[in-house]
Amino acid sequence: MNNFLNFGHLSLLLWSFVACCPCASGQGQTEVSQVGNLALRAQMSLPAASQSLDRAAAIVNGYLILESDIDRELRFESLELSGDADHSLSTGSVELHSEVLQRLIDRQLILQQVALQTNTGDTVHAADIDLFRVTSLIPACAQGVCNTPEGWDQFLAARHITKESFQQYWQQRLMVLNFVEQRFRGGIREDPNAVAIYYRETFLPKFKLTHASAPPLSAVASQIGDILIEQDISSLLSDWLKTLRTQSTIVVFQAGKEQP
Amino acid sequence: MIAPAILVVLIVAARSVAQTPAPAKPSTQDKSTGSEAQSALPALATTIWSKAGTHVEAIRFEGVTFAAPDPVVSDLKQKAGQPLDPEAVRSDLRTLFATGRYLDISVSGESAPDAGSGLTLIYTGTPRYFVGRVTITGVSDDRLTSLLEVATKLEPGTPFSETSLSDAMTGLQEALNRNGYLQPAVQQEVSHDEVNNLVNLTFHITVGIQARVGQVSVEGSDPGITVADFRKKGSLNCSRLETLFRHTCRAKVNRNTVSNALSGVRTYYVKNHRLEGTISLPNSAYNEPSKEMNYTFSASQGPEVNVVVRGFPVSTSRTKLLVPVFQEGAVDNDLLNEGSFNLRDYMQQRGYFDAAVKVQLTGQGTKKLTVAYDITPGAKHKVTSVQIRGNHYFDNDTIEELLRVKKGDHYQPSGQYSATLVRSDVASIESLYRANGFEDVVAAPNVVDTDSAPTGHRLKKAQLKVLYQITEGTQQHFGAITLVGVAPDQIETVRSILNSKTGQPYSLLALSNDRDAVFSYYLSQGYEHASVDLTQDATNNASHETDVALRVTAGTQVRVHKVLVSGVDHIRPSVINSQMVVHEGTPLDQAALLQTQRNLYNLAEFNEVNVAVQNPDGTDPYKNVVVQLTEAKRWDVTYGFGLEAQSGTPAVIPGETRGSTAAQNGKAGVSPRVSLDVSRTGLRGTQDSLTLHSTYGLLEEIATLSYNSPRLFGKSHLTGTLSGGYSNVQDIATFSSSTLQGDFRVIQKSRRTDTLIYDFQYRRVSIDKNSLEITPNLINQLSEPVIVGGPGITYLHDTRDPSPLNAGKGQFFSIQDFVATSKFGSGTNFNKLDASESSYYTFGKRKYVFARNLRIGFENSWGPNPNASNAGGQIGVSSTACAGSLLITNPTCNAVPLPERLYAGGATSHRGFGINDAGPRDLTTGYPVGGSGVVVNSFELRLPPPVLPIVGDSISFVLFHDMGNSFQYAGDMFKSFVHFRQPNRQTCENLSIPGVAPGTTPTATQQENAVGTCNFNYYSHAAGVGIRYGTPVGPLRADFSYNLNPPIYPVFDDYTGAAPYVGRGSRFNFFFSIGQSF
Repeated sequence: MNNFLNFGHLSLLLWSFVACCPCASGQGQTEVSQVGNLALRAQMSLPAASQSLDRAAAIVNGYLILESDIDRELRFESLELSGDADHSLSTGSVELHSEVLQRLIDRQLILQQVALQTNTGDTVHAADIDLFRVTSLIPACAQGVCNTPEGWDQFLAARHITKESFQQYWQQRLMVLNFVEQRFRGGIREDPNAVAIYYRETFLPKFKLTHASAPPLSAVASQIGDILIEQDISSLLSDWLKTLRTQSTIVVFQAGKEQP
Repeated sequence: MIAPAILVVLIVAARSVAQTPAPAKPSTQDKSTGSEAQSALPALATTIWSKAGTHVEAIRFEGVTFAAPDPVVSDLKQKAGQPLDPEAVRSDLRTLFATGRYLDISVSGESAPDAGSGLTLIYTGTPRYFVGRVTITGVSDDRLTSLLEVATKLEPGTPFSETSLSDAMTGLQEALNRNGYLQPAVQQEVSHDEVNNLVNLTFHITVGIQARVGQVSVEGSDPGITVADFRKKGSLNCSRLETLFRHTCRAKVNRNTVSNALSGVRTYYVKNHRLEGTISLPNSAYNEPSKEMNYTFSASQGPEVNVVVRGFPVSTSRTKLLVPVFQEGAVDNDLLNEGSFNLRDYMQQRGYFDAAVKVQLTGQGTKKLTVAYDITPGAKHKVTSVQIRGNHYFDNDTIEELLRVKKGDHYQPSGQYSATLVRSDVASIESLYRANGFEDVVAAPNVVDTDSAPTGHRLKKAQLKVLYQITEGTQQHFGAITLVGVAPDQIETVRSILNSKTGQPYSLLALSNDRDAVFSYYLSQGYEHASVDLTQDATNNASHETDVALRVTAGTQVRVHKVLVSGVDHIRPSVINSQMVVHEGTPLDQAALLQTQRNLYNLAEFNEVNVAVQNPDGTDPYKNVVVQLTEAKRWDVTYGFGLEAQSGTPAVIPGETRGSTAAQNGKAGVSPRVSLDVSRTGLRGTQDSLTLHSTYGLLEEIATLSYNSPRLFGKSHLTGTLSGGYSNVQDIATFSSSTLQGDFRVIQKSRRTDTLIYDFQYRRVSIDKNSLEITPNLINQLSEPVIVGGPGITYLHDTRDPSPLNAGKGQFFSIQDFVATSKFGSGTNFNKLDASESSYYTFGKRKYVFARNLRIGFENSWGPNPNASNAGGQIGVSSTACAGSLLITNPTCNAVPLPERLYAGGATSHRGFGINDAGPRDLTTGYPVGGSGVVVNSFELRLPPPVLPIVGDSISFVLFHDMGNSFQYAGDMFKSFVHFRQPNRQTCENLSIPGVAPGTTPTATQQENAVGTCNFNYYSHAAGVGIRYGTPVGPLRADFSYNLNPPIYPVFDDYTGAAPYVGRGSRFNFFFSIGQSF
């Protein structure tokens, strides 16, 4: 049963990946343009011993998103998926690079909304991070190498991730979760009919494919209910982000065009 | 709590939002993944993370550089000589970008030639440019030029981009189209100031031909109006005057054409009771060959709507004011209910406090709707008393100002009352007390409604007595007042700003003012993003103290980097610099920017002064201030037309036979006048100016040339003026005089309220012999030109408030002394002192103003009297009019020349007389000749304006009393106060001529030589009423006065051939002019 539930989550994940193209960065007031002419020329004309280390990738309501942000995001993503902060996911994959940038833009929009709220319940402090819970989510930590603070530090250092960087990443993650929970969860109610429909039309057919016997509805109703709630939340979040983008000033740096 | 695993789903799902094409403005970018991927920034080969720990040898900036004192560089987290910290570098990138000076930013690392050493960090960026000067050329209409400047939406100092430029062009095009220019040509010219990162834009505009209104068509099922009428009511035709000169005239299209058409037709519909009529403009098209704009309107008159009011007589005009369906052009429930509310309010204002109004709408769906308001007035009431009791902290006057329940008075006989107003008053009283620390205050209203008298009979108007019983409770005081977030070196300064002190009675107003004062202080110190928050803690109930904390978040202090002045062609930079309050290196003070703008405008040399901060939203601690000036035209021509209407206008018509006294007292008449002033300002690039002032009218002709230098010797408080000119004036019935005068004066402004004027005057005064209406024996003598020269000094003290044009309090005092002496070449020696003092008092709730003015002047002459008998041995001069004792008793024989004497009477003096008509008179002709002393006292009660039909509160009334006179000798001024009538009045009626037997007609010569006896040493009193109509340039004034004790005087020869008679001053006078009398 758990496999099928995970399969349900995974299918959603896969769906999201499929649904991720086409990338449209020209949303609302999103203006797509320039690489800094001078910056790019500067890069191109850099002496051989000189390397570009970081640059502006986008501006979200005045906040700068850097290339290093995208790089960090890719590292964390691969850390969670494969357990290894393998940079190969980012290199050579321009589509993924662009998708991550859009994700960072959305996250920044949410964080700016969080900052507008003065409710202390949304503030997440470093002390709130449960290291044990965090490491349990990373496959590479399954061998117990991350169980001690020293082991954890070494684990991060080996993957060129600074402790502060990870802390900030996780704090933002929790703040976004809290915010989404508070903003959207309250208005959603479980619909027993929807659970039954999902069980009948989605859950059972998947089990039939595997020729396994499906557990009864009563056993999985709760988890199906959670999945449906989270689907609703996701839908509300998507609509809200769409509105937020139209109201925001977003600039994405691209080669070849003048920045507005 | 959502499981973290699902978060990935959410975040990835959220990514799908980014993939959805938005309905926003089109992007030039292809939305497919493939093409975006190709044009996206490539990933970097090396990341900042990989360089963590590398030694940073040095830090450099390229593209955007920073001045030496700029703390941005020193505040960067990553320092040279330290290991590279990726988070520090990332933070520094954001900090640098936030300064607002970067269009984009990147950081690179340059390795040292020898391996093993560190690297140099290079921050590179494209500098951002900001909007500089925006100029519009090719448009002659100044108003249109201003509109076009606004339409560009290019604010000086704000960030500039190519989008801004295209938006500006679009804005210009749209603005020109709206103003009827459908085929303009706009060319842009862009120049860059590379040093200061400014972009200056010039838009060369050829407006082309303004469109005319062409074909107008009206669609709709039931427009109820013909096209011809539509054009007429919608002002789509030329005016009658234009059509008179050109029958084929077509109206020009401007920005008001459509709105005027829609509102005009709507008004037509409302007049015809079509209150639900609708008009719109679905289509308009420009016909290029004919340069006409064709309009297609859609109109529907809707049903006829009648509004009736029953139960109480309400006029039609009042109904239209109260029921908003007329203004709104719609009939819906909200508007009908609002009409009910307004009608009930109207009834309550008339004393029907229990009035009820019901509204009913009938005929829906038909062509005729009826809105019926049924009013039940109820009993009429009058509020006879409104009392307040129990108040100790605030006096009754303070609380009464808040109350909306009013006792009946002359202006509102029934007073004002309703249950809502009582509740509002209770809330206002309690808010006032709470704001001053009385948290437990209770205001309990008690209303007594009496319908019958104590005797039992029913009262015509029921009486309401309202009492507010206040229980104040205990007042809170300020406890500890703490400052949080204030730097140690600023604590003392900030504390000194605070008015609130520990132990003082609590006051929310004082606290708010303190917060504003602290905030203003930080703004003045350049902390443009400062914030000040107040927190209060009133939990210390035992001691009734409220602890207050002011939390200051100062932010970054911004200083002025450069002050960039542009637009100066002729004015000297030193003149401009002298007005600057903002300087390089000083904190960026918004108040200083405003003061600079004000100072530059006050120079009167510029049409426009724009002062703005470059990069206003950036966090850069060093910013430029741009000062953009537009010089005014240096030639200025002003022309005007005016008139004075009054009684007592000099109107001497030689040969006219009259038996009345109108000749001496002038006539009621109108004196028109035209004026022309030509000025050349900005002489020699300074504030100096040269002005030719000329006036031509029935009573005066003046031409004066003056050179004005506002900053004499470079001193801002000194103004020098050199003037000379000619004037020919008849402001008295007795004579007209011409003067050729030169004057040099220095005006010193010691304080805002005090002014000193030092001057030297030199003039040649002559009287037109043919206009001189005095005893013939002295005409030659007194018509001789006289040289008058000497120094003078004037002191002015002005505290009138709110303005000199309409003062309600304060004072105006002036004293002037002039000495004419032969030492300065004057042909006559005298000293003239003239002082005037006015004060204003406002009292009463309705703001009555009591104004008073007292003028005292006297002259003292010395040396031989040129009018003495045979003085100077002049040939042909017979001075029998001044022979013997007549030299002392005949007012005409005063040694001071006629134009230099002191006079009284007129619109701004004693209103019981015509202009300069008061005081001593020639004892042969009866014409006024002035004197050596003058006292005029005026009292005026200026009533608050009543609310009248049509004019509203624009008209007010005054009651005035003027008394005083002009006196032959200064010594007669004060002792004459007790005389209500002329002393020895009977001598003024004595018309006997020596050598002429009683009952016989004297000869012309006998009449000419006769000199009467009459004493004018008394105080004349006049009372009157005036009307004032407020205008932006001061009140229009009409005064009507009645002289209680006009003078009498003997007239032997008034040049009309009449027999001798006793002349009498006019009782009635009127004056019409602009401005208050004092």
